[in-house]
Amino acid sequence: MKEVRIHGRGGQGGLTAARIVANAMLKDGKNAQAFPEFGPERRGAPVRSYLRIDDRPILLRTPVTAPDAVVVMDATLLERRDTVLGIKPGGLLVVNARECPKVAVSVAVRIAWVDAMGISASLFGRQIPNTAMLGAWCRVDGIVGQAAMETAIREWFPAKHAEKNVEAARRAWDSVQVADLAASATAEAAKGETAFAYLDDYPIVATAYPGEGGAGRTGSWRVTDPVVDSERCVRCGRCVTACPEGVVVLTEDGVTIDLMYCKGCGICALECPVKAIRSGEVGA
Amino acid sequence: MARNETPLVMPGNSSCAGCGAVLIARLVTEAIGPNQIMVIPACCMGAVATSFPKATFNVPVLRTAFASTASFLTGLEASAKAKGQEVTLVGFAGDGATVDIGLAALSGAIERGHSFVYICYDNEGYMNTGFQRSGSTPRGAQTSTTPGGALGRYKAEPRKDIAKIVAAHGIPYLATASPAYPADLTRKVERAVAVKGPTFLHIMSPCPLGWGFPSANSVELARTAVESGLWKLYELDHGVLRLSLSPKKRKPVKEFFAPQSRFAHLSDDVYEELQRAVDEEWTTIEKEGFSLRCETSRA
Repeated sequence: MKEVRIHGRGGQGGLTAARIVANAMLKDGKNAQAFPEFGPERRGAPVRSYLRIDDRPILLRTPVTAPDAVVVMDATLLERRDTVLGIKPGGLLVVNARECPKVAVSVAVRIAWVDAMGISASLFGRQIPNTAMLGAWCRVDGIVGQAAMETAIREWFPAKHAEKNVEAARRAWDSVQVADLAASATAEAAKGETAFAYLDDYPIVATAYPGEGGAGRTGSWRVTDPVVDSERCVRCGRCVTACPEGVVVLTEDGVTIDLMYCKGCGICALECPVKAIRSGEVGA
Repeated sequence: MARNETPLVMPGNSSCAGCGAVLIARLVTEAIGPNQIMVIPACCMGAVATSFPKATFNVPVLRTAFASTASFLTGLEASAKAKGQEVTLVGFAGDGATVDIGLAALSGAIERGHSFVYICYDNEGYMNTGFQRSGSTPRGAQTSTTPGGALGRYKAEPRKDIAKIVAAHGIPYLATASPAYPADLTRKVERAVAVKGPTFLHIMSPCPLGWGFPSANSVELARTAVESGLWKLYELDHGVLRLSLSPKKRKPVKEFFAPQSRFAHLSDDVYEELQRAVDEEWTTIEKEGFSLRCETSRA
């Protein structure tokens, strides 16, 4: 049996990618399952999808903990140690990145990367990296041939979206790069840890204690950064009241925004009466 | 970081970018201050309240089943009395937990006259589980259970008017509010805390994902709802009913509906009909004064 785990953020289409491959495998006479792991997941929050393929009927109904391949739709998810957790020796890691991403793994694997964000932005004008990631993954994994992959994409999408998605997969198929990634000593030390290891530090009672970053560093959800023009700012504080997250603070020097947690909703920019805040490119 | 060092709503919680509900939660909790106990049922803010092992609210929070917000408030009041504790008890529930599933408990608690502040943040559907219709979803809206088109119909029924239902109990204090008017909202919360007995706030809570609009427009959309005359800001204080704001020059209602994908199927005929209904309503208000009776069912 082959097992794949897809890490993405809500809205990036990880489940769709898994389902497209599952459909192609079913047509090929194989057994396949594709399903998401969801809780109260929200747009921008990390989500996982799973794919299993086998010649025999698949009876497992559990999350994939020892994947043959891990597909990462968003390179910022590599900061989470559970993203590459459990990957098999000699397994495949496919990442949405312009350059070979820096990541520590406890076993030697093959790593592949493709600029799916760039491909998606140029074709759709939005960040929906799933079909580009699908193309890269199919190419390096050999899981589905190019023709079968394109047929599966065409069958999935309505006609008006199909060709652009096929083109995204094709560009990624052509541009994906692969390298070998050796096991790193620090990751080796963490071997055997489970995703829930941190729970050992807490008593098992249904009580949670106040703390910031319950959902992690939510600043990584941003698709735009708030940029403040302090010269123009009149210190009215409208942005402070309007920020859902409560991360905008008025100081004598103007407005400061805690980018560790700012989700980049853009309300402050829109509400500013003197247009002293704008939504700019992330990290610019 | 130069942020408030002890915020009552912790940043980095799991609410969506541009969430109206968490903005309301922040404004309400800050208006009440640290001396409060919150009761949150199953709803979006219930999911946001804890990402185990961390909690989002820096005040005690009890998470309850869908139906029992007001029952918990009743029990907490008895407990606070027994312990001689002076504390504000706050129910913070979505529309599903208020107008549908928790309505019986809420009605009972108001009728028995317990002292609490009940906040209903109304995002007009079951947004936490995938945008199903609720009793508060407006007519014509597309939801996952009223998908419209070839799959079925759009929501055909007008929404329940929860504020009117609550007013019928003879509640000491009731108000509607909007996150686009934070000063008005804060004043109403402070008034609700000061009033002895049950109090109820109905607050419009835009939901970027469920309503289908860009996250940056949450507050603006809430403002448009008020400026177009669709969402009326008022309060009922010991029997005295007051409009908090009458928009002088009303915006066309289309400006509220058109940016939302859940209303994308509405035609200009429907907009004209909606506009006429709102215009008639406000003409009556201007002529005869505002009463909870003269409200006609809308959208």
